[in-house]
Amino acid sequence: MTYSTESLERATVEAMQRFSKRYIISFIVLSAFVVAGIVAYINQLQNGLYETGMRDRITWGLYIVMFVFFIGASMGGTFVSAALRLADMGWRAPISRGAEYITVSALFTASLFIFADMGHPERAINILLFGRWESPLVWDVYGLNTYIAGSMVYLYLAVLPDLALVRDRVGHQLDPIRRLFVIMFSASWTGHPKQVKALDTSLKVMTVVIVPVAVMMHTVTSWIFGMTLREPWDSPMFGIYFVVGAVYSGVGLIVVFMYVMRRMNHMEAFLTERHFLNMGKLLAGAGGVMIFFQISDLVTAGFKLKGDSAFNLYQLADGAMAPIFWTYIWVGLMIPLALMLLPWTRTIWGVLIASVLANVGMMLERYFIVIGGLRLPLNPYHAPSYMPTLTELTIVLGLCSLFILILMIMMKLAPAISVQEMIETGEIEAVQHDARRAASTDGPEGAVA
Amino acid sequence: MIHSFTALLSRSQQLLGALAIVIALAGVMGWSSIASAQQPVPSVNLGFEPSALPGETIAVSAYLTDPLGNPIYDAEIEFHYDVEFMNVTDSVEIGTAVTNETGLALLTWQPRSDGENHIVASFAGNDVFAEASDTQILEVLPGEQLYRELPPYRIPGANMWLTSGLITTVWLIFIFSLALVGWANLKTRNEPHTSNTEAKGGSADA
Repeated sequence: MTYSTESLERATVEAMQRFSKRYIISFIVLSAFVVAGIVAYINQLQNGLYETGMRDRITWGLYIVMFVFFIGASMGGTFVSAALRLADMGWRAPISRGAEYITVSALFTASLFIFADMGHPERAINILLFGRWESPLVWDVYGLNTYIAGSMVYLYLAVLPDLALVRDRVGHQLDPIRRLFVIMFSASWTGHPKQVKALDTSLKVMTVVIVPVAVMMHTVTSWIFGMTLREPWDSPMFGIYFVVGAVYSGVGLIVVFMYVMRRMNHMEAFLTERHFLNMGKLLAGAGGVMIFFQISDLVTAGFKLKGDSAFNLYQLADGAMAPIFWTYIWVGLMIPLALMLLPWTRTIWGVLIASVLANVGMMLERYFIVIGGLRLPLNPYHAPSYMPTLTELTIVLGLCSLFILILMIMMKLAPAISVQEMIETGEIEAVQHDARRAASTDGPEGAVA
Repeated sequence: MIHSFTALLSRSQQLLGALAIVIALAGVMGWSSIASAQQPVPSVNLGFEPSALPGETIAVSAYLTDPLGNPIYDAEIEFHYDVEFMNVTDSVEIGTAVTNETGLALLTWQPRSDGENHIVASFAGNDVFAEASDTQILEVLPGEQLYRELPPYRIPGANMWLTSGLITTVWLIFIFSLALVGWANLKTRNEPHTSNTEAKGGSADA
């Protein structure tokens, strides 16, 4: 196994060109789910939101839960790619492209969840025409659009040299659609020093801008809840809470993507155990902060049991939301942290399991925040209940499948590992060192384990 | 078949049969109402000051007595008032109170909006007594409203222009970043050079 620039370029370009049987089957199955989601959505459009489990008192359901989840997923991408670039951490190099893909795909999917939640999606334009600037919903719309645009610019700038690489190396071998895409978007990049300097400047500027934009986006999303007069959401900590939760689930999602990409594209040489363990440390750090926030939130509210917050705490502790809440605490927070703290579970598999559990946990957390908050009766009624319908579940399945499909398509349009960053950061030598160390401890097979 | 069967019966037999069915049905259907009618209907007497101001705390009382005027002890009385909101009139619970040994259920309440408030005290009934209720009108006089709009809290300089200026700046930075690379690409596309990958890639073959 060689760890040269040449071998990296060859591996990434070959991965782009290869359509394995597993890839094609996955693509067909996911496309079928997307079609099922479209059919369910047409049914919902025809019959109205009555097709969902949402009613006059639980007005936000699974769609908004998933919207918040995917906005969070996008944060992980920005954090790993841009924040680690700012901190000049070279090990991010083979991960950052996947992180950027996840950001764009997650933001696109999140915005579609908003449309799924609307009874009259054709009225979406009204928020731009008649929306009040005082409303956090309007801030969210502008924030989301800015974040999507920024993430796409950032991704494009980062991928530009690699697109040119594909154009120069195998452009003539690609199918006409991808050839056109690569030629069109690689523009006239030749790798000239002036071009490299301009790209470097642009990327630095975008890196500085995109991190606060991402933090702003998550804070504004939290304000949609935090600025509504509902006791369970009435916390000034909500913004920080959402940002850290977003990093937690986003990092987890990137680990899952890394693992799949490593297996599917045979990238074991460039995505080593060290990268997974570093991501595991980030996951554990974010998870630890989440536990700290959770304890701080519950202890202060629970000690006072003031007004409607008592209702919320009771429903979380042993009420209707208790199974979801305790699964989140144990499965979503404690077990992933334990997996990362114990030396014998600090492996690729350990990080992968912790990441999957972190994402399950964060999805549950979004659920009890959104639904639990709305269950609080503002008049002397019984607390309402909510159960997603088959229509809702099918649309959610369709959109989640679309998220993965977009990632799969992106992986075939441009290299999934940034060759340029691997060279710039010296990570190409670092993976070579990883391989030598693995070979010296585990024998020759260790290099690709 | 049915026709031949009815033909076998005389007219008086048919009439007697029909009468028997009617009596049986009336017996079954009427049993419950007859049974409930046997429960004595108590009396609820609702009382409060005839008028109040919005936000003023008033005592709302209800006496629950049996038909002979004896107080009914330890019975739950629910107090409601009718509210109209967006053309829908519905009943909103004020609260519940339990009668004492004098049959009195008492609670305090702050009416929220001026106008005629229809207050209802209702007893849901139990094993001994049937349900009963009483309605009275409380005149809430115009006055200072319970809910007041506070003057807006303003952060100096924070307004629509600042927000839109901030968003526009961010978008301009995006455009600038793209334009910078695009301009460099255009300017140097025909210049000869060593590719960046070749220049930096090195020969790290293991």
